[in-house]
Amino acid sequence: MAFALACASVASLASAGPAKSVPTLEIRVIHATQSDGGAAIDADLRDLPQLTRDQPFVRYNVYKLLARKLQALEEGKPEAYGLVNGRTLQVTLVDVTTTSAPHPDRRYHIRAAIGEPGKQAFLKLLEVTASEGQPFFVGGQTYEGGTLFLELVLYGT
Amino acid sequence: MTLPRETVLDLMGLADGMLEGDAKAKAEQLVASNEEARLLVDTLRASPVGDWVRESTDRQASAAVAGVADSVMARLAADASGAVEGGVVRMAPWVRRGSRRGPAVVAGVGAALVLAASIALYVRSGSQRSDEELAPVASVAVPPVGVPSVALPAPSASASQAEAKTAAAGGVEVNAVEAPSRAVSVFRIPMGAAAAAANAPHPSSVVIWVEEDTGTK
Repeated sequence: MAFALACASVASLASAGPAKSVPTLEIRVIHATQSDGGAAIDADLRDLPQLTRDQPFVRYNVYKLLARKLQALEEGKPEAYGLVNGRTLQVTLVDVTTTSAPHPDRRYHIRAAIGEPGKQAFLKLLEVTASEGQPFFVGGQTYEGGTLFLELVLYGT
Repeated sequence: MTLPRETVLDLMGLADGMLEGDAKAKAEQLVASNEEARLLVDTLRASPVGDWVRESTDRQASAAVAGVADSVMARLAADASGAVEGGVVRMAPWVRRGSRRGPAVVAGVGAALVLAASIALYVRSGSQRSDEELAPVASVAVPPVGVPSVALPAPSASASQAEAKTAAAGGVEVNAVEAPSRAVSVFRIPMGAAAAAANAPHPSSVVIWVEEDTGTK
């Protein structure tokens, strides 16, 4: 799924005009709850059934995709994304490195924060280095009887 | 222990075979009649440290005898050359075997250590272990369920920098997390089939879990 989205995003960027050498960040906002009525996972979250066997996903059995966004990231330029709970996710691409052969791997170093105006930051700073197409999650924000998982994935151009 | 110090020293000497004559007979009589004395002597004789003490004292005695012989031979040689006055060979002071000084003191100290260790071992093995004794020497905060994860300490209200270097099989590496006044856990999760299907080079990921403040929605 993530790979298909990456291809689609790359294709759309290519058709829009001259190719820009910037990676794309995919953000998915997932609402997770625990229900006695049985497990239910949104059809758009095809990766999640694999993940829900592990902590902390195993705490919940109902998953819904609330929002999704593709955002081009330029190095050093922060991008903000409004979350459903009123907070703002800010992501900055710090740098991109490529490991050498025999297994070249593009690595994205990003800096993120989640805050809310007038309140103490929920997540003041998060620095992660991830390989291309490798998702990672930020969880723990309470929302409507459950929690929010933010899935972030970076794709190259 | 209720035995007088002098009696204990005598018993130590008996255990090491250093007593002679009346002192030895008196100590043996005490061992036969006093349970505490018998226990002490048995403990000393059964201890490997006691053997070491005995061997050490024997070695010292042998070395001293050898030293005397060397000294005599040297003096005789010197006498032959006319260097010794009056034909008298002067020897260094020698501690007689059986004396309570010298080697006996060494044996006494060793035996005391053995006795103390034996008592300590007995008391420790016979006593009920408390929870504190069973507690690990170091512990870390972990998530509620045992899973592959790294739990970062809950930051204080004033300083909340939590540095992490968590590599999830090389795929995702958490370099730093800072969440004031919140507990942070980093869960490592396998991506399994999903990653394989996407041809992901690193089939694992992480979840950075930040605890929400109480009452905050």
